[in-house]
Amino acid sequence: MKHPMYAIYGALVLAFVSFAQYQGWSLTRVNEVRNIPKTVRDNPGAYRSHYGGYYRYFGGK
Amino acid sequence: MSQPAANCPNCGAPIQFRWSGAVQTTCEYCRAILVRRDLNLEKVGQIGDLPREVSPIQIGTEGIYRNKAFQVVGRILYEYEDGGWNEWHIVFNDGTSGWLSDAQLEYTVSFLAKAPEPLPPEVARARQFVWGGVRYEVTSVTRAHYRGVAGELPFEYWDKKDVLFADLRTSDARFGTIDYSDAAPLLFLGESVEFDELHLKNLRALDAGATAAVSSLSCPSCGAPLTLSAAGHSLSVVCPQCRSILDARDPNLQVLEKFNAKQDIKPIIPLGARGKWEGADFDVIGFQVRETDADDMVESWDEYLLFNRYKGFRYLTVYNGHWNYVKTVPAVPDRIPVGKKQGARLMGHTYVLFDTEFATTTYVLGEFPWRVHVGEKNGIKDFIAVPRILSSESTEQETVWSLGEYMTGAQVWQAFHFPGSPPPARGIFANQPAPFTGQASSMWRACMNLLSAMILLTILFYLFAGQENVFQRQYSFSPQAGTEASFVTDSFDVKGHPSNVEISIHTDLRNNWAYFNLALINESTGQGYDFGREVSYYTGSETEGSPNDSAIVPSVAPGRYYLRVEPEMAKNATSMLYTLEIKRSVPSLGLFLLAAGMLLIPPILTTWRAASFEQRRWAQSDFAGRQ
Repeated sequence: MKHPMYAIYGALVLAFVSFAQYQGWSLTRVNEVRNIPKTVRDNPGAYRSHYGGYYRYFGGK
Repeated sequence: MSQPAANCPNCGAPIQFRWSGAVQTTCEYCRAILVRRDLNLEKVGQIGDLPREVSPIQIGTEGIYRNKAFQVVGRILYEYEDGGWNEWHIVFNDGTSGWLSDAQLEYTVSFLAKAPEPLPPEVARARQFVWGGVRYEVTSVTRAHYRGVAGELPFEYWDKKDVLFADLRTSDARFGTIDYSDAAPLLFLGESVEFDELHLKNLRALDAGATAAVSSLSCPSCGAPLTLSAAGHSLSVVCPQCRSILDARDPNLQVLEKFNAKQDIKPIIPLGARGKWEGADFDVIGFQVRETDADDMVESWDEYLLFNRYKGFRYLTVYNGHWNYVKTVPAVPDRIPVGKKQGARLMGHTYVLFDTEFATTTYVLGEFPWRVHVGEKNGIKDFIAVPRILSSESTEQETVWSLGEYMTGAQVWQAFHFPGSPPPARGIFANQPAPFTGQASSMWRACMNLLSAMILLTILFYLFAGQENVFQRQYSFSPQAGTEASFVTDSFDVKGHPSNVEISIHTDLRNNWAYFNLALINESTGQGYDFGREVSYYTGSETEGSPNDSAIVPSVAPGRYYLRVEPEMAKNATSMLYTLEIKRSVPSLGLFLLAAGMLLIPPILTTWRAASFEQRRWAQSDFAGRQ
């Protein structure tokens, strides 16, 4: 191998991507919410989604 | 090889022939020149005083040429205005004979050849002949003075005076001579050879006290002591005190000229320094400064002349800390186009013209095997094939080709065993190896290997990753129903190690849209992942969108989860059916693409740096901006 540093770098990248795959890392992000009350199970309408009301942007008059 | 014996008709000393085919020989005792007449020897002349011996070859020297052993049995010595040379008559062990020429320690082996065409009665420099499909070019026409003979020759040769020779070269170091010493010109063909190639033994003992070639003299102009390290080879020697250029071949060191310099220049490699090059010791015997004034910008460089008593002369050039080890080329390169540029082809390598300029000698020190002259102007053309540089230097009389190889200052310092560090190199030189050019291609090969490994890894992940289906259920939604749209799914288990979770939505939408507010909620910890997905699908003359969509929730810890779902649609939309499907441990193509990008960064950077280096190199050439 003419480029040992590059080989090490490449091996680290491959190890990193394997670990990331195994751990389920993703390039996309979702909004993480803590302490959602258990009442949501019984009253789903009480939960206010961060993304709620989407259709209003399209509704017009 | 037979060895008939006879007696000298002049002094009676025994004459021993090394070669049975000899027509002429000389008596080692009385120096009579003897010619065979039938069975008798006849004295036809006397060997005169010959100049000091400086060639390492002598009669009796043995060697090997093309796997055939030979012995030197005779010699013809010629002199001309700029030096002299020996034609050593060599006899091979199969009885054939040829000529080993030694001109300022540049060696050629040639043999009498049948001319493929009638040879012209006279030739001029640059005339070309094509013999056997090979282009020979006349590189020099020399009127030489016959100086003497010794030993055995295949013909009578003792009463000559001035003789005309035309030397011819090819692009692959083949050599030819048209010899006009007889009424009908003779053709000799052969090739240039390196000293080491001949495996010579029984050489003249030049090293005995180094007296054979080194002379101590004094300047006739100022009396300063002078040393001639290459006596017999040098034509000029410079007095460092009074800056007189002296005729080194004249026993009285006649002053040829004096030159003025604005200041004394001290070479960074002192004259007399000894370094190891090509496995042999070379002494620094000369130094000159040359400059160009192209584009009204004066640039100067230094040239050191190196000398070895067997291998001859070499040169070291240095410009801004960039060094080249140079030797003259016994060949005439073929001139060829290289793309839109001029080029030259020599010994299998193609060179590209880099620049054309005039160089003026401005300062000299030491001794030189040519008539050195301050103010002398030569036309120079440099062709490059990194790390080599092929240069032609032209005067009205001749064109000399030389081949240089790039050296770092550290390599030069190591060759001379100098302590410390050389002056650092500044800028980029014409034939300086790009530090990244070779690396780029090999790095791309390594990159391909790593990408292949990554593709294999991707396939393995797609084949063997869990992709465990943890939930699947179909639902319907009608915005006109007027009921609460949000609901939660049944609970489901996400097992194993932390992994991503993919939530897929498959709808029966057509020319409509829906929006899903989703929250994946851990039943026991209350931790949730809140996100939304829009699904829209329109079809007609054109198709836009898709009735399906999915989202990835990263790094979901194992546990029991449910999904809160709140679909939205336009108020007047009809109902839709949709399926929610949840999988864990799904391979992420995005991560692999990110990794591929990371693997590509180093070779891309290296390639860019190599390209940038080449751009800076060619910015200095005559062809800047015209690549």
